[in-house]
Amino acid sequence: MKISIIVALILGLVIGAGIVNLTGPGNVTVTTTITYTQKASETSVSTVVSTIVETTTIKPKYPITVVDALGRIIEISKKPVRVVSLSPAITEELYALGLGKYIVGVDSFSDYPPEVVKLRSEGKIVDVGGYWQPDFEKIVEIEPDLVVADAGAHIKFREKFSELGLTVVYVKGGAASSLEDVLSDIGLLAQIFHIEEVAKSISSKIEEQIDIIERELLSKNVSKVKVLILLGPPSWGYWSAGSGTFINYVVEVSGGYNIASKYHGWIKLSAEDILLENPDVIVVSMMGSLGEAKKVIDEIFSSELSQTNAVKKGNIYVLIGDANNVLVRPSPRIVEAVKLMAQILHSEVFGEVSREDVIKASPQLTSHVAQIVYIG
Amino acid sequence: MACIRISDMGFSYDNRLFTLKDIDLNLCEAEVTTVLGPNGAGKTTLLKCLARILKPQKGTIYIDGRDLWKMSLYEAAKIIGYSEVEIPRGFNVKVLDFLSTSRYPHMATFFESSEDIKAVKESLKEVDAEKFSLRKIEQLSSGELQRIVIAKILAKKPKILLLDEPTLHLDIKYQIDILKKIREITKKHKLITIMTIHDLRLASMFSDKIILLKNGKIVSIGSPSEVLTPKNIEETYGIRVKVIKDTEVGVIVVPLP
Amino acid sequence: MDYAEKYFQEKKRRFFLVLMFLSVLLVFTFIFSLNIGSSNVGLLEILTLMNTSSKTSSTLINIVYNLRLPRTLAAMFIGVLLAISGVLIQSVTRNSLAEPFLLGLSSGALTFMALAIIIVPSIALSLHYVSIISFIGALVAFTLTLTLSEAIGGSATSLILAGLAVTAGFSGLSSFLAFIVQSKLNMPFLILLLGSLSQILRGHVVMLALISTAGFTVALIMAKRLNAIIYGDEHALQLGYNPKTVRILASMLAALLTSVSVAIAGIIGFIGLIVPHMSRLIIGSDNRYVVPLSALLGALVLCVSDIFVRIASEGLAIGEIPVGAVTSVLGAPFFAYLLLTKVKA
Repeated sequence: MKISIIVALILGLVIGAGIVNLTGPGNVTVTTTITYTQKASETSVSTVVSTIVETTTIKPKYPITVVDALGRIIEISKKPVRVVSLSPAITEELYALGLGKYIVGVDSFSDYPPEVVKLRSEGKIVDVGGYWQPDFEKIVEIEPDLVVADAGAHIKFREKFSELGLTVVYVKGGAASSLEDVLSDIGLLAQIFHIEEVAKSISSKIEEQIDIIERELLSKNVSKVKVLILLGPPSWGYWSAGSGTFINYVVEVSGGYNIASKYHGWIKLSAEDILLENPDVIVVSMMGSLGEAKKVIDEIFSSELSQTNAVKKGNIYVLIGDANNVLVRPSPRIVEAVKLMAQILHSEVFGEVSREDVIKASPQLTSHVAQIVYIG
Repeated sequence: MACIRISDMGFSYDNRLFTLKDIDLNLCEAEVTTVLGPNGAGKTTLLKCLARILKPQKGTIYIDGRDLWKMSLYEAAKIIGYSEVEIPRGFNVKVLDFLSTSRYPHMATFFESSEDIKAVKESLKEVDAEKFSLRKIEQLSSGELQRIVIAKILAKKPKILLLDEPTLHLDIKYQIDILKKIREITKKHKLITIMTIHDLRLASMFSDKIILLKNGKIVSIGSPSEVLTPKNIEETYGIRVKVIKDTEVGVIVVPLP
Repeated sequence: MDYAEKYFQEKKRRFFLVLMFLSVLLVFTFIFSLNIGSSNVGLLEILTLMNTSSKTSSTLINIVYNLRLPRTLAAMFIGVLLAISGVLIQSVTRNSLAEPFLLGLSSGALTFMALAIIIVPSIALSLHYVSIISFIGALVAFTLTLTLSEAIGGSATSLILAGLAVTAGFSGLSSFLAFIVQSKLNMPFLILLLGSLSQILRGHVVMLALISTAGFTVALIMAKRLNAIIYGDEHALQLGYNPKTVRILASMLAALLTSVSVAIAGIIGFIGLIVPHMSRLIIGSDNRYVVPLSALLGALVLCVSDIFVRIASEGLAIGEIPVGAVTSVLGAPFFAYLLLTKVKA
């Protein structure tokens, strides 16, 4: 008898908790309002009071509704003056649009333009934590009126953001799959600040420059070069960017064939995969010093990848510092990334790349390597 | 004082082979009854059936005229006390804690009342085990544990005592000690005590009645002198014995070489 | 001759003393937990600022406490869930070394969760459904452990061995599946392998409060039955309890409590082992005392562990340390110590 009561109790509470939950914190609901101001004036003439009401419909700048990269409709009630950027790419975009003066908080990796680093160290801009794990307390503390987040890395925090009552707009960011996506991110940010024309000019400049490169490649009738892009040193595993990523776009548009493109998204390749595809060029993009870059080159030479054309011909490039940044950030500097990649893949058209932050395998190593055989 | 009546009871563990067959019993006196028999005869099984742990496939067990299996577990718990106990390790249990669980069928309140505590104390006194009431139960010796086991049944104040091998692992002094106590308690509280013992001599000395079991059937039932005949014993155990009748001690069974 | 009355009275007295002490400690821990974080708002400031009605300060305060308060409460409730789950499992298995994590329940729960999310990704949005799947997983794992244990001898040691085998199996599975969930579906899952309170939302706290209260109440009601079955099925039967019913109920409750905690915060092990032990050291084995004491102690231990995690994460600036890692670091040596002292006997 008692037992059945107990069982009923448990069941009841479980179901009750479930119902409470189903009616729990809901999704972000949005209302869109566009108000019209009515200008009224009245004149009175002697005994007859006539009121002339002039109504002029003015579409004000704020509030404004935008659709962010997650497809959510966000209402911006007034012009944001305290903006938090949660990724380096977003910071770059904001500065490119001339909105840097509104930034009050950035993630710890944001470093371009250089004044960001200075402002952050001086405390004029608050460091709100890493790219992968933003510090919510810090964000809330600086009372932003706009937080810009990355649909790739920060999608899991959207419930938390809404619980905290923050206005958050998501850009595609890491989830960008093409130039269009990056440009639409810039466009979205511009839209919020009513500076669409600025975005348009930036976009057209970018498109123009990339166009030039594409046309060059077309006119010189070059064949696509097989590339292996490694994100991070090989010791982390062969992480690469497959189809549907903006890095894949960069490779394609610079006249390359991304051997990881048969997979979708951010994937880890196996050595077998790589050897099968036999890339002609290996580009390693990583954070690190010159010394570490050289070590990585040595590593690759003595690894299983030494059987690839790329290693045999000595076509190994390591991007560090800013070179790494422009490749892995879906920001306006994607142009630079394309230029850089085009030089790497087709130096016969664009000239050899000569940047401090791009380390190429030296010729001496090449001949040395001809004798090293990787025994698997 | 309760009355146990079993009519035509049969029990099987696997529904094919019957461990107990055609059991008919009538125990209505405040006596100590010992179930004897070779290994596998069904002694423990009989006890478990009486304890409402195993349900017989055939026949009925009546306690005071009521069908044991028509009673609720709870009602049965107040009448019957069964000795088998598993001692868990690592639980930091003191003897008093263990004994107080026996009062649960009688406890109306969430915690023990003074009456319950009194019952526990008395049960300890009866088995002369007060001195280790605060010891950890896993640290008791076999002898001490056996006494506590009896105490735990007594604390429940049942009308029927079912003891499975209460003299196991004890040396002779404690064996006699325990059996004496069991007889005392049975008489004093007018209980029906049924126990199983291996040792024929002790059984013959300390039982009022003996049930002789072989292959699940009752070979003989009656007073020790009636049951423990050389013929019965040879039939049941397959050994030859000499039975000596001593006026002081009763019946003594001596195995012949 | 009232040694017996003295014993029971002493126990009651000691229980209330310890309860009061721990309650006070819990209150202090609660307040302390609300005080630490990366922003500089502390309780004192909150109290002073509460008198000023500036809009920004009150918004700020409220919001900061939307982060710390849910997390603190969640830590406490989950501590309760895990501790009581431990008490139940130890009584049911008559084994003081048993624990929901070590017997595979937590890993099983997580495995089933990951599987469900891979098959029907949208299920991740409903905590209710995820909890049900998690519950099934915990039960399946527990059943497997018990079956395996019987097959290899059914002793106390067999249970622990079977539990370790099942835990290892499901841990491997859940790691593999978690990886798929995280990389293919872009949902945070790997962190659940080691348990973390960083993803707590307000809605979670409500469910935790309900389940832990319910679980605690039922466990307390069952306390006497749990006391009885420790001494064997026969002993329980002759006390008027049906050991099968008690076992099934207690197991299901333990699985429920464990699975809810796993669904919300991932795998946090060893609380169910350490806390009941500590309770028994203080108050003996009577579940009427052990259940409430373990609940309190569980809340305290997990809250303190989480505080440690938050302080360390900030100090070391390496991102969030999973709280399950901390409980493992503390719990595993404790488990080893128990093995040495108890299993030898």
